[in-house]
Amino acid sequence: MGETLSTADRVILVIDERTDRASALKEMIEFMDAPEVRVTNPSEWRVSLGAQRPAAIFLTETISESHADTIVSELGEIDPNIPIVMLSDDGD
Amino acid sequence: MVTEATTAHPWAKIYRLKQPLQIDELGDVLDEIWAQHSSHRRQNRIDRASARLVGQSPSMQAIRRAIEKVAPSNANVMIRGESGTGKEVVAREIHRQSGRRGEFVAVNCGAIPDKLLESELFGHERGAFTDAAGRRIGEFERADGGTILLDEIGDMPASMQVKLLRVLQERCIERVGGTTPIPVDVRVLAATHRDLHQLIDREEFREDLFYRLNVIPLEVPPLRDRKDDIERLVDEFLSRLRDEHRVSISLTADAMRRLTDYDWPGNVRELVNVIERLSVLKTHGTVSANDLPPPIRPVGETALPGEQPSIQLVDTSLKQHLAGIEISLIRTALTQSNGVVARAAELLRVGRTTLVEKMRRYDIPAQPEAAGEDAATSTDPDLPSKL
Repeated sequence: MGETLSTADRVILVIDERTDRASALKEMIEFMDAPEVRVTNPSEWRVSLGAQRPAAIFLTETISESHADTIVSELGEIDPNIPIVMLSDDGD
Repeated sequence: MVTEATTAHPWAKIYRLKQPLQIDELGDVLDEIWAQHSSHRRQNRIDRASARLVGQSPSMQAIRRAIEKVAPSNANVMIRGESGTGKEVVAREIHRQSGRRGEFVAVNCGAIPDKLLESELFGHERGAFTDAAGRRIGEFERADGGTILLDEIGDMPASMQVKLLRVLQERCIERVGGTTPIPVDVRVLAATHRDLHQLIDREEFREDLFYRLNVIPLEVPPLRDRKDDIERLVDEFLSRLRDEHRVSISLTADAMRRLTDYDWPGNVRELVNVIERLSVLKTHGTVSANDLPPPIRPVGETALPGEQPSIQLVDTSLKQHLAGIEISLIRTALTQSNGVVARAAELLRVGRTTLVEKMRRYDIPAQPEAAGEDAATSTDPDLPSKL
């Protein structure tokens, strides 16, 4: 990688099975000054991104391990440097 | 926060966060993510740092407790405080904790020309006035399901006050040029640095609107009243600069003392400006008291190389700024005179009556620790009632 990303590339993708929970997370990330946060589900996340490279991907606790594994692998094909944030329930 | 690479994906940089999310932990992760973006501007960083409710002083703890209590309700909240104290930060925090799904929308009622304010708030239909080429959604509709902050509500013109009152009563808006009432589910927060009771007395603000908005009053303290937080705020801003912009400056104890001694008429916003300015003029090393800008640096001390003598321009009117300087000078004189008003007046080279009048106007008490019979405590009938 190594290229400098433009503001347009500063998209954070939240992947969640339950959109109501993801909306609250989206709001929280936006509150922290993120310019664009998109919410999607595990089967549509690539479509949701289009040709864009996300600044980071959030995988919520609703995503199964196998789904998470697939997403992380596919993300590595796009760019292995994209940070992944995995959320888990307290105590996990 | 835990950072790791998994066995299956050794290349991956994975952060693990536990629910419920802690805002600081999330902030740390996002900071690391944004650190890859060289285009991310320094001001944004400081703004975000200042956008948090930083401080552990009793007054800030009280504000946090109040926010927790009021956030879940739909009650209107009136946030009062001087310019730069962070009224919008408090409003955003109320919205964040409210669980309302819609947007947070802030409107500065004092910054929008009177003629445009109605259209800004309620929107307009096509052809409603000469420049209305198309339909426009107003801020109330944009905040539907969320929260609207009506900042500087004391500056709202009387004609708009009537319309706002109707919206608060009926929970419907009508676009300019429209005929159909549109229901809106908006939580209304208002903020002002002005004394609305005085405006009501002068018939510049509607009393019925005041009581509608002032269901829950919150007072954001000026920075001079929570000086215990100054060092924490400075550390927070310096830490941001250090982490993300490789600006590694620290302050000597004397410099920090000057910052805590200063009265900050422009409040947290002024403090942010000062730290920003220091980081531009000095990217590494230790900041001494001499490096501080006037009026924090005493008159006559040297300035940083290339620095022009100036005062800190903050987002206040000239009148407010001069008032801030006047307050600061009066407080200093009273401190030096141990609260003896006559002596403070001599120091300031004004008449005692003039000083008493100014103390009353700005609600400045003489020093509570004042000693001696001529100290301006309860023995002086001319002094403000708070003394």
